[in-house]
Amino acid sequence: MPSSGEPFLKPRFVSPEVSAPLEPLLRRVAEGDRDALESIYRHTSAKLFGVCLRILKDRNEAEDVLHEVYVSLWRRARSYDEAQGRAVAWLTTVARNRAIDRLRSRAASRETATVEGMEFADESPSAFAHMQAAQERTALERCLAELDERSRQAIRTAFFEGVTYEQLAARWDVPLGTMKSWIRRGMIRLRGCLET
Amino acid sequence: MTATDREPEDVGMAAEYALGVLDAGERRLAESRLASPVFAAEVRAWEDRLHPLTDAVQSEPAPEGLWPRIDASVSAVSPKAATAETSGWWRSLAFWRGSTAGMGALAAASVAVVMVQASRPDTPAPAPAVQQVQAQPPMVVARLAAENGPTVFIVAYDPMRRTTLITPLTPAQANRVHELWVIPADGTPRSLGVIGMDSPARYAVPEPLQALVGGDGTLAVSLEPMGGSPTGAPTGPVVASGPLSRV
Repeated sequence: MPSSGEPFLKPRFVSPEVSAPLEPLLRRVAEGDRDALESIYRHTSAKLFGVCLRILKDRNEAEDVLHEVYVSLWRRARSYDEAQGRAVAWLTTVARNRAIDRLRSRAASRETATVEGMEFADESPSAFAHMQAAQERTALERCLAELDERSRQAIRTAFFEGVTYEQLAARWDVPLGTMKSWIRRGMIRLRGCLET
Repeated sequence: MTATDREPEDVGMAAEYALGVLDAGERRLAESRLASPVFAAEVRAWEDRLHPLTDAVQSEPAPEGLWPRIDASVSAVSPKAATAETSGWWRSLAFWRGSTAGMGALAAASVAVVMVQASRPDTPAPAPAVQQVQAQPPMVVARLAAENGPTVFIVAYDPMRRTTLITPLTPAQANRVHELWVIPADGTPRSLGVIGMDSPARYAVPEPLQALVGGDGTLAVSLEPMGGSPTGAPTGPVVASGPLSRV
């Protein structure tokens, strides 16, 4: 048995997100089952970390958000209502909202400093290699494709980066009202298209 | 209710909230309206519509130290924490013990000793099987916490292997390193080296320090310049400390 020169432990949580049914695990979490929480973490943390990192562009902050999300899941799993929708969507939404809140609470100077120079995965449809909800994604993509280019780009950027109307307007160099109208018009058309 | 019946303002804000374009104040306003079931349903519908977009976001493995941090946190906030704190602590130990090859037998035996002692605190004579285990040098563990704060490191010393297994529960700091110290009865800190913050890892303990780490002293972690303390004594703030205890 060696007494020194031990290698670092291998990463335990590198498995890609798996499309596992989370609802039974959530029920166990609500009963205080920590193994179930770990299972959920293993299945979802890479996706959630990717979403938060995309918004925050800072690994430490994204990690803090995930920490909060899973601890709050532990405390509040009982309040999860299965009738409300799929658990993965719910968890992703919670993480995304927390990441956006954190982004908002940052100093404005820091935001603009970190937005540039970061490279992230392609957000064009070609990046949709590993997806779980093919039909919905296709419908959303089809409807997004029907929007005019500016609305589509603004909506995508807003979703992926969690930036405000003001920041979008500055980035496109258009008046705030113009940006609001691009997005609102696009969202109304998007809903109409998805509801048909 | 059809789409045209809905308040345009409501629909707009629900969509904007779900999309994430509102500023901080507007977000608070939207959240205050989530108490309304109609508005909440509108937000949820938008979240569901947009959710497929997250498929386009590249997954990224979460930092390795995150799960231990979460695990430690939930043991503190669980509704069952008051009655099951000890078992929570042991489950944390089981986590990294289980993920380390070669420690199984001794670790399991040590746990058995603790459980026997815990369940029968007034029984001086242990069962024969337990006695055999106690002939082994005991494991030593320390839970290092910030002052009045959460646990930030778990350190276990295995006297058979003369190594420590250190589990960091806090992220690395920019331009600084975490250095571990043992402080024996004489009060003089001796360095055990700089801690890798990325993952739980095992470190050899130099021979002169083995008796100190196996003793009754205290462990502490200070923040030091890159490469560790230049003086051989702690120079930066102490971020965590905790007593060594045999198990």
